[in-house]
Amino acid sequence: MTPDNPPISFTRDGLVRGYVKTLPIAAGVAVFGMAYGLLAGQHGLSLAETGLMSALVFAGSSQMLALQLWDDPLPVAGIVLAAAIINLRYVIQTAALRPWLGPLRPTLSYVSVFFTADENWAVSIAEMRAGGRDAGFFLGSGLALWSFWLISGLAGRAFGGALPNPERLGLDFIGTAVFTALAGRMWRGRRDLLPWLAAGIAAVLGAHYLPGAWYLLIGGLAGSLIGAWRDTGGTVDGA
Amino acid sequence: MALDLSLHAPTLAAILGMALAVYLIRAAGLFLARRVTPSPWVEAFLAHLPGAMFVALVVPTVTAGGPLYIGAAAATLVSARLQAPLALSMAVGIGTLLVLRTVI
Repeated sequence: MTPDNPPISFTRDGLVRGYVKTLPIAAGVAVFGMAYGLLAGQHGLSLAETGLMSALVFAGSSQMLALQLWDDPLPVAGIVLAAAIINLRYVIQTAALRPWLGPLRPTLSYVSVFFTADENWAVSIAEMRAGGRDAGFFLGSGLALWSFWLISGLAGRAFGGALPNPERLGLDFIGTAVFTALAGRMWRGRRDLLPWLAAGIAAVLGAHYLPGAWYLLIGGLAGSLIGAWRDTGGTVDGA
Repeated sequence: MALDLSLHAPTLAAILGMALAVYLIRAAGLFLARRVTPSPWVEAFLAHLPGAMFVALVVPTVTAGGPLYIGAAAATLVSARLQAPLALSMAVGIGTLLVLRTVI
């Protein structure tokens, strides 16, 4: 060990710093949480169910997506599958946290990883790249987002029902607005054009010809397969 | 408004299933990072996945929603490209839809 490269630690100070540094972002996410709670109420979820989903799943896009697919009878398998597919990006994101979480006790690292979401992941990676060596930061950052996400979802569910006709307030557009905004932020330039076109076309065709939420899987797969194929020079093994 | 603390079996199953699936994915990245390096193809595939999923989710709804939805989605997209926070982008989209509904 050299002074330039101190070992990874996990301290209470790091945890508090991660929590505090993430507060502004968590407050912004709370608006999204309110929207989720409101939508959950529209789909008949109880207050307990709304909170339980936020506490245990803790993935805004998956939760909104689940509500978009909510139906009677409930397509449980489709909802779980869609939640999994839309979050496959976490595989790469948590892999990138290895410098911090790798050296920790397994229990601590596998508890910390539960709190991975886009926002706190981004804040933590920035801290890590700036030379941060305290892995407590990541858990603190995650707890900030998690607590705001849970409370705002409950608040949206409890008080959103007092609002009149959702269509008159444009609230039927919430889910679409969230994903359009997320897509806009995810756009990385011209190289995304081909995969996105493929995803859009495949999804529209899928929605037209296939039952349920299969269009989502078809569109997502079509876009990423074509993108990966193009990026690796048309060979499957990337040689 | 009374506190609705009821739990329904299918809803509970969906919540627990989602929670398990999403946790396993989060844990898998950490687990795998300690053992294997993904091939360039897998890495490229995973990098394209979120964007493609969001497009697949939005496009059928927007095209089915007609000119009002297309206009509102375009406004949302522009605000997101201008680095607006998520909450603001949502407000822009919903606001645009309301304006269009009033005007058209």
